[in-house]
Amino acid sequence: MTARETGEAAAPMPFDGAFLRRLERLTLRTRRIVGLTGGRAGALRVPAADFVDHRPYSPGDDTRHIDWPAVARHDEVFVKVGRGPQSADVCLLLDRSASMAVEERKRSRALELAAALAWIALHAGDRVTVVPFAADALDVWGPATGSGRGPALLRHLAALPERSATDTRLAPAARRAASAAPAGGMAVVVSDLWLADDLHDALGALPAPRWDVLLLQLLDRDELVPTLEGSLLLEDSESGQALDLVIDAPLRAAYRSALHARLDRVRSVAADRAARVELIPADWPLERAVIPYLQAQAVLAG
Amino acid sequence: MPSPALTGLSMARPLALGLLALAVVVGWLHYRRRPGRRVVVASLAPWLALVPEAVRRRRRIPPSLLLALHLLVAVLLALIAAGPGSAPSEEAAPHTVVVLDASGSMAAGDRWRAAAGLARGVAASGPGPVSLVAAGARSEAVLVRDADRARVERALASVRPGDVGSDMVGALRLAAAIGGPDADVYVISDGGEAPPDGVVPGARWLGVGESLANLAVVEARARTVAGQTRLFARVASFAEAELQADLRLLVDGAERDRRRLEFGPGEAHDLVWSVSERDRLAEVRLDARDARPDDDWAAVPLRTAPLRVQLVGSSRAVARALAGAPDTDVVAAGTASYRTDGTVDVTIAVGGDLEVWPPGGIVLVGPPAADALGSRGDVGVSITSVGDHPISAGLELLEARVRPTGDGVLPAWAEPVLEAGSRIVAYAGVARGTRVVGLGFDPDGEGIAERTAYPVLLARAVRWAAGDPAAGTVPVGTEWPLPGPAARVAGPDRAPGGGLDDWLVLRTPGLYEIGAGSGSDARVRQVGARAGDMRESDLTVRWPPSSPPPEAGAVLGGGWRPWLPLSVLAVLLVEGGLRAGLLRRWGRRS
Repeated sequence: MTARETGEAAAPMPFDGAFLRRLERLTLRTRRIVGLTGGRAGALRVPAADFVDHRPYSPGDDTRHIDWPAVARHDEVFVKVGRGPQSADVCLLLDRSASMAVEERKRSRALELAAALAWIALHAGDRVTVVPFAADALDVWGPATGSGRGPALLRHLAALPERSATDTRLAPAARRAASAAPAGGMAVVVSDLWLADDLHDALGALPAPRWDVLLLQLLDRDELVPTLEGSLLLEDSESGQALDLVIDAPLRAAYRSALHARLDRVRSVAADRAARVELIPADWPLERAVIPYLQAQAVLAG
Repeated sequence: MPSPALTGLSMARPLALGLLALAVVVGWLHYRRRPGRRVVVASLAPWLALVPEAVRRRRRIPPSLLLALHLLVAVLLALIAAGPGSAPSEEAAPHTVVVLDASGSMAAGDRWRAAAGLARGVAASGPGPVSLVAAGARSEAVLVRDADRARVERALASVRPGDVGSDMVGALRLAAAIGGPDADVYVISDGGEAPPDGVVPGARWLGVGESLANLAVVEARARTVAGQTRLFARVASFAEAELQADLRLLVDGAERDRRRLEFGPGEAHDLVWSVSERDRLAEVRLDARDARPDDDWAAVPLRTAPLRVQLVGSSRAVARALAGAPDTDVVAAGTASYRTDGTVDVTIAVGGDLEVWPPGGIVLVGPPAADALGSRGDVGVSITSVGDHPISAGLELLEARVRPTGDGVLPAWAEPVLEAGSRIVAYAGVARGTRVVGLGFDPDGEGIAERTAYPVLLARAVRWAAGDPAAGTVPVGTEWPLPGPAARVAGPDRAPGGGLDDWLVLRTPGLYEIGAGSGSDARVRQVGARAGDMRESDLTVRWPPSSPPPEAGAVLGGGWRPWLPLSVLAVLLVEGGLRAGLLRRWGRRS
């Protein structure tokens, strides 16, 4: 969709119109649906023209949806019911801490993923709120609805600055998201979850069943399988803490074990809060790898 | 045999060990050093979990070229310090023994300077401790196993040539005893004597000097016969060409005679002068202007005080014989009261040994059974002379019959003078530094004392026991017995003084005066020390001069040691290059 079609300035993200149109065919799959508006085909049976099923007439039902042929065949008045259009509150919590900016690839992939998910949600009629966070919640965008807000969202995301913080905390952003959708909804966290010591508290701010929480843990390939070698001084991108190490193959193998243990702890904490975790390598192409993966994982539908 | 490149190499040297320890310090510094590259990671969280494992792994020295270079530098420096020429280790390095010929001929020309230079070079080239043995008239260990080069130099400076004769065999034996079987023995000499074989196998002989022409006063003595004193001197040429020289005779400082002498190749002149009884000191001086001026003169004392003889014990025959002895004062003394203060020249003990041997000579007449000659034997055995001993030479005693008083066994330190049958009845020798004459027969029996020869025999025995100071000059290097601890000595190399040892070594040509006692008992003996000698004044070199001793580099084959410092420099340059350029490229690879 070009800037002329949308009536907005061209999105600064590397999304072309065709890609955006492909995104519009997707929806976020969430268990938590609220409201009877939106483009989401809800599961709720409501009197509707698109016939799905019948139910006995209840006072107040729209008489235009009475199925008169069925009435002729039966001695009871039935109305046609279909999936009523529904919407969800979708909060995107985007990690903007320094750890997400160590590698440009990781930083850009996080932005792209958040932008894509937000675009999908907006196009689906969901009410979207984007909460960037570092040590605290940063400039919140939304809540907004309607696909027409998409370009503005993309511009906003593109203009988000990094925040160098010594202590990235998810809980404040989670509370901010909770306050934006008091009825609950879907929360998608896009983060590397390195400094997620408060993950348990953050998920507590978005409790199930009111909230359907999806943690998209974005890690760069070097974080998953480090290739560092030799005597190095490793410095934490956020805390500045330094560690003098001699890294060799056995130590790298030990790192992978430690990493997997940490990932397991994150999953455990998430499972305790009925949240879901999906590990997304930052070097995966968004459309060819990330989105199909999310579809396979039933995060996206369409 | 060790490789020449490794000869003298010893990592046991302290400096070498210290530099090897430096390698440990280098490793520790690398272990402690900050890494060369800083890497920012998203989170240290997973790495922090690995710290215990990482710390264990960090204990290994990270392999790096810089570490290898630094270790190489430390090892190279240790090798430099381990080589010969660096600080020696007494325990690990071989011992060098230098035997230095200190005879008079070594004083000729520049022989001594060359010899000292050779000795210095040998001592410096040796990696270990040094010993120095001086081979003069007697061998002496001047320095024993000392690695301090300053002390080696001082010891070398304390040795002076000049003695008549060189006890080279004794010096080599002393060197072997000091150095042991593994020592490097160097003998530095002018070849005055043929090197004795087999004393120290493997000893290296280094010759100095070249053959030189020389004139010398090789003998000078005075003899008083029937009141007439005659001065005798022998002057010899040790040259292959004809030479001329002026000779002067000074008596009591005044020139008494001057004459020009002509010498054919190897010719000698015997000269005789008459001097009066008032003359005290004569000097024979040869104006030779040759390589050895010290052997061109001799000082001869012409008069000495009469011999003072104390007679311990009683014997009419001895007393009568001594009464007629010229220049002899006889004092009687008891067996418990004889003098021991050095104021007598000779002590005659009749019929018994002396409980304490006094200073001076001793004549034992009819020694008791405990003596070597003390057992009774046959009566009436004819005495015959043995050899040409000065005491008995020319005496007619064939008809004398004596009662031997000894068992006829010759002491190990003595030589026979008279025999009676197969029995030794008189001997003479030096025991415990004292001249001793033993006359092992009873002079009061069988009328031996009336024989004309007996007084002469006794007088000769007394003179011989006294050392016969008026007989002439003695060679430089002679040990002269001193008359007790209260002796006073004045000479060309020392000021008058007392508190001396038992012996005085006459090291310098000239007149020595040795005194003892005080007042009327005071006695002063004059002794002339002479440098000239038929052997020492002959400056013919009997082997060619040696080549200089090996330098330290030659011991290692002159090969790689000089390159060690260059290797260190090259390593440092490589490190500098790495830091400047190559290292950056290698950093990016990691």
